[in-house]
Amino acid sequence: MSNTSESAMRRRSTLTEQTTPKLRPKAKTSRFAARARFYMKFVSRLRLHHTIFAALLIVWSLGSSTLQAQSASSSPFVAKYCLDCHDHQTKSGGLNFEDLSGKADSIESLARWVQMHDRVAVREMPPKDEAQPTDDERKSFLAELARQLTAEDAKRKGTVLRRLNRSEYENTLRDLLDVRVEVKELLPEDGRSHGFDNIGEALGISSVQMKRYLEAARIAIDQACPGSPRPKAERKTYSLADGGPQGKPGAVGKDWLALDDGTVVIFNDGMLESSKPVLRSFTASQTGWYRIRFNAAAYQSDQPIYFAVYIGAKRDQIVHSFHEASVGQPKPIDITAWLSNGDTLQLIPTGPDRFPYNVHGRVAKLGGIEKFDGRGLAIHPIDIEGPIVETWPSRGQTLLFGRLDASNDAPKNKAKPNAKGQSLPYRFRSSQPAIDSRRLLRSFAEAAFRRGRLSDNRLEPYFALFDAEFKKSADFDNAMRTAALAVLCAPEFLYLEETPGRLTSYPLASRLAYFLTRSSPDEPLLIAADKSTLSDSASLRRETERLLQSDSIERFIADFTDAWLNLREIDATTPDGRIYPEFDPHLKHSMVAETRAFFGELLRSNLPISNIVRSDFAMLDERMARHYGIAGVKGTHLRKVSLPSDVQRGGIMTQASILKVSANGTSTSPVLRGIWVQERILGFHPPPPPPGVPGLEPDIRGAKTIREQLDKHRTLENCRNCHANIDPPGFALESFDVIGGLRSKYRVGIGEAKALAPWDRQKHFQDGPPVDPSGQLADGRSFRDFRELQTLLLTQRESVVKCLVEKLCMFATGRAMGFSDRPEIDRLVAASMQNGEGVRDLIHLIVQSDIFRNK
Amino acid sequence: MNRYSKWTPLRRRTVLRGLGTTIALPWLDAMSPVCVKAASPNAPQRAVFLDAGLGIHMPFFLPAQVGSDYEPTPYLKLIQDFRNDFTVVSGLSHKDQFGADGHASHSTWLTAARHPGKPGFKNSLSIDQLIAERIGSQTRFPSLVLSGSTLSLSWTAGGVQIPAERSPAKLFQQLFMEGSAQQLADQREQLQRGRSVLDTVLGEADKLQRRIGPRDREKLDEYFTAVRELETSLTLGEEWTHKPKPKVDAQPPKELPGNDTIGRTKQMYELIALALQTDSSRVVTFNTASGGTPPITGVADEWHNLSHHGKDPTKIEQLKLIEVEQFHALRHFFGKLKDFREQGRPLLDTTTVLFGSNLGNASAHSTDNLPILLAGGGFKHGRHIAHDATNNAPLCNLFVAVAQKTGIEVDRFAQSTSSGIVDLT
Repeated sequence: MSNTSESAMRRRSTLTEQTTPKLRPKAKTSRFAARARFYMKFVSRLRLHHTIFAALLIVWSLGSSTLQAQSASSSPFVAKYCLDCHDHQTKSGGLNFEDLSGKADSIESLARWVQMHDRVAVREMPPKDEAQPTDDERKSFLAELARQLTAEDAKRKGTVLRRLNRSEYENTLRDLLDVRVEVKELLPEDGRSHGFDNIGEALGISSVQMKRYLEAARIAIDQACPGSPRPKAERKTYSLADGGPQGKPGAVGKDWLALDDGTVVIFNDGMLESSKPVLRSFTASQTGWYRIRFNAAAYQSDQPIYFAVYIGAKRDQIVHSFHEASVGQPKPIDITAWLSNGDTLQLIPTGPDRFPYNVHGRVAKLGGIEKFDGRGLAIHPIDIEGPIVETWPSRGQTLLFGRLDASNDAPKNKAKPNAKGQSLPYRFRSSQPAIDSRRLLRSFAEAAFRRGRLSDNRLEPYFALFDAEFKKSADFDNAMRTAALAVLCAPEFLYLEETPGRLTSYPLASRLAYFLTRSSPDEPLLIAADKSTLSDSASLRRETERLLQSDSIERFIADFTDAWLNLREIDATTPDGRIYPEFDPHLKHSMVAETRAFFGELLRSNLPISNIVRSDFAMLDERMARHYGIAGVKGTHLRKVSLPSDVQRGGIMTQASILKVSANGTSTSPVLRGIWVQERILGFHPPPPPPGVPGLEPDIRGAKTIREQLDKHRTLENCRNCHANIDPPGFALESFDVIGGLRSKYRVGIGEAKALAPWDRQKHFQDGPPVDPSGQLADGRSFRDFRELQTLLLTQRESVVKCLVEKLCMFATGRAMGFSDRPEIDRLVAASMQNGEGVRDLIHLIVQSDIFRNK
Repeated sequence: MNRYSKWTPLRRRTVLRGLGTTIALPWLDAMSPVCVKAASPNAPQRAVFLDAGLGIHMPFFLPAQVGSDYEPTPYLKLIQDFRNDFTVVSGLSHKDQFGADGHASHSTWLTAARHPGKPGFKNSLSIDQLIAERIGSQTRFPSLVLSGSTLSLSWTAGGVQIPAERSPAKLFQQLFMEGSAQQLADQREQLQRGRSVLDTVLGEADKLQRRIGPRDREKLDEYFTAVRELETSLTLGEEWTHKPKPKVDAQPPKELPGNDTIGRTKQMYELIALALQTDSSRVVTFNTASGGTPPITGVADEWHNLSHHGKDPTKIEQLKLIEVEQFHALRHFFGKLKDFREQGRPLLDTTTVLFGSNLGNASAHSTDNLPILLAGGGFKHGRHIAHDATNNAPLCNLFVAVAQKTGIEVDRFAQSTSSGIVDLT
């Protein structure tokens, strides 16, 4: 007898035993009722999705001793109250519990069990118009199911052997070797889960990665251990007016004024290839840190002028930093930057208002650049010193080669220096290779493996590799590098090894370090781990506090906000230049800096989590302040600014970076922004649209607003229920355009489709239909604009706190939160809310929690 | 003198030993003592997958009529010279491509994994890698994974993205530029060194395995597999260092400005054609360069923005200018494959080119009704084959047909169903 007919029979027998007169046979269930339940399913899935998704990643295979043996339909409760609609015929909402394995042996079936639990728990199921279980029935069903789900989840939830992701890998190599290796781009992009790229389960490995690890480690070792004498820093002074291999800058006398002392005044915005303010006379001859010093002044201007320093090879330069040239006394600029061989710099005036594309037309008419009276950026001669080496030899070389001598004489078995006279690389020599190799490989591997002292037994394979290589070539240097390569490709280096249950000292130290510094534990943390004091709460708290105060915390802020808020997508679209002419690199740079600084401020000053929804301050520089329409903020540094009451800003959702990553370059979508808010701020994960429902195609011709289109879309029964939850925050955020500017009317592009020259600064848009930021939440509360929505959301503070707790726990442990984590998460939420919701306190709460301290 | 001098044929046993497995090697050019390619039923078949990640404006692409008498649309007009070498197959898609963002289906175009980027998502083997697994060992490069951006189309069975080569210049170097004797020796030394390292770490992983729990062990198994596969690939790589790279007349491609995405696509097409002609690889994926503001007269806006035209005619007009260039490039590529003859036949006849996009209506990020154009490979062409536009057929069915064409035995892939694509033979 097949399962289906078996369960069907069982159901029939349940029905005959059923005494509740309300229960209708299925044949009578009207199509309408079935559809209504279908829609209700989506509504309730919305509320519950956060719990479902949390369980999704867990590889689940319940043993037959737990839950129901064959099929969910074997459960009396399910048979009695669920199968009427969720059987293979009706499949209400696409759910067929006859199909649902009692073993919950797949991600889907696990999610369904949790879903079933949650919906029965909040009394959304069975539907109100169907037979209801008694309170006792419901309670005992839930208690039993929860007990089993908790037990199963607890058994399996531990963080799975977690590979370092590529940022962690690069950070770790940099910290281990104390050289700035650039290997991240060599490695394939990491798998993501819930937006995070440090979740063990999602971090696969393949031969492709392995190959790149070999390559990256070789580069890193060679860069760290050159063996050569300390490089001498060169120091010279350069002028923008000087020529280079590409000849003299053609802009002198046309768009730039060159003064006798080597100062150059730039009048143009540097967009035209031939008049880019590139320092032609300088290219870095060695890769390393350089100190760059010069004076900058505003010229013929009564206000300071801002400019960007770009760094890179001539064609491929990226913004390094923004600076201010002062009025009157020139302002000294002092930059330390990492330059690769062949890099140079470029200095581009960016504001306060845009500079002209070129001025040479007017200059020609005036009869000379001296007569030009526009404002300019005066760059005095530029003093460049480098490469600057702080520690020589690097930590990596000291670990691997100690104080051994290196020389670049040709070894016997190698070719002589070639005809071009290039010198051979330095190679280390040892007079007692057997002893030195043991000693040094030990120091290198112990530093790399983050586990303190290693036994000879653990190190034996690396010694053996050294011996084999040395035997082949008698080349000590090469054999050492090969053994070191093996250390950096070993699973102990590439993975974070944790034993089940309570974490012991070293794994706990690693977990803490990778959480807050995104790298291996530093010396003090390893010492604490070695003394085994880390497992006591006070010491753990002390170490956490120390890391929170270290510079490396910036790595945490950047990586966490990249994933949590999706800041990593800031470059995904470039706003339409015709409609958003005010978007510039400075604005983009400051946007990201603002959001990071904001989260950093919450963390440093231990401010309440509710600031995520609304704050009375923002972290701004002048560019951002201008964008937000806030007066009185001068200069290019970010600072805490109290927000005037008439400014519609404050909180994370009104930050330009967020408004940009949640829009495309041309139009905003309340749906996308709504989902952004639900998933990242409120912790709800809306289900995907049902199959076959097409996405909304934006129509920006101005005839219809997105709102109007969406209203039409929302009248479709299929969409309405979910979108009643998704869209409202997005409606309120319609007050902000794709670059986060405040708007009351949509901008509509005008004009022919003709090429816009980069210097075309004319407005190519006009005002379109007015923005309507009002809406109604699914619970019926309505709002007129985003500020009112903020007030409403503040009554849901618990959701906001819980969302942040879950995201931080996930990021900190490298695993998705499961069913059995619920009580601990609830405890953390309550503890945070009882103690003022401080973000810094929350980090401590999490680090002390069972979730963090267990595998 | 090295026993693998360039005139000495590779010994079949040598290769097999290098592989460490018993993969059949039916048709390895290096094994024929003289470079005469006899017409053979085993003549190599190739597969090329080309994704236009920002979509194709469907009204300019999809013919209104079905069958062989279709009226060419503006884009198809541009490749009319090859009308009998390609087929437009409409009404295809993967199910459940709603992902983390509008462009997430990019990563699943060749894998058909569901809900890309959503919680619990793990990508799966891409069709090109399935083919490469079976036939890849016969060429210097088991597959070429190319891209005009950072995104690659190719994924391992474990769901790891295979990094794509983005630089035409570097690709040229890998394909055709022979290192000096010293460089080759160094390269071999590095390969041997790599193998010694892998030997050591395998031993370490073995010990680690005994210390950890069952779920961790599954993860560590991935590591084992990765290391073993790399050992094989390093061994094969070392064998290939003993065989000279093919000589071509072409010059190394020049570096183009960052925004010249179409220019880079053209360069890549040239190199793909050369790679196929020289039998350097038989499996290619190329995520055609997109984005930026291509230097085309009349185009002022970013390609991505234009793809979200929101029905704005001025944007559609610019988008068309770009996509026309895209089809010009494709035409040129088809021409290269058509003109080159192998055993008297056009290379295009033994090369299946699947050109299309992971987005149907890119302006709405829809993933249904994908634009798909199948060319070459000896299929019956010259038609527009339409599948149900409301209830799409699986694109995987077409993948299976393409894979079968390469001579491998496969009857299922990801979302494929038993009923095939309508009548391709």
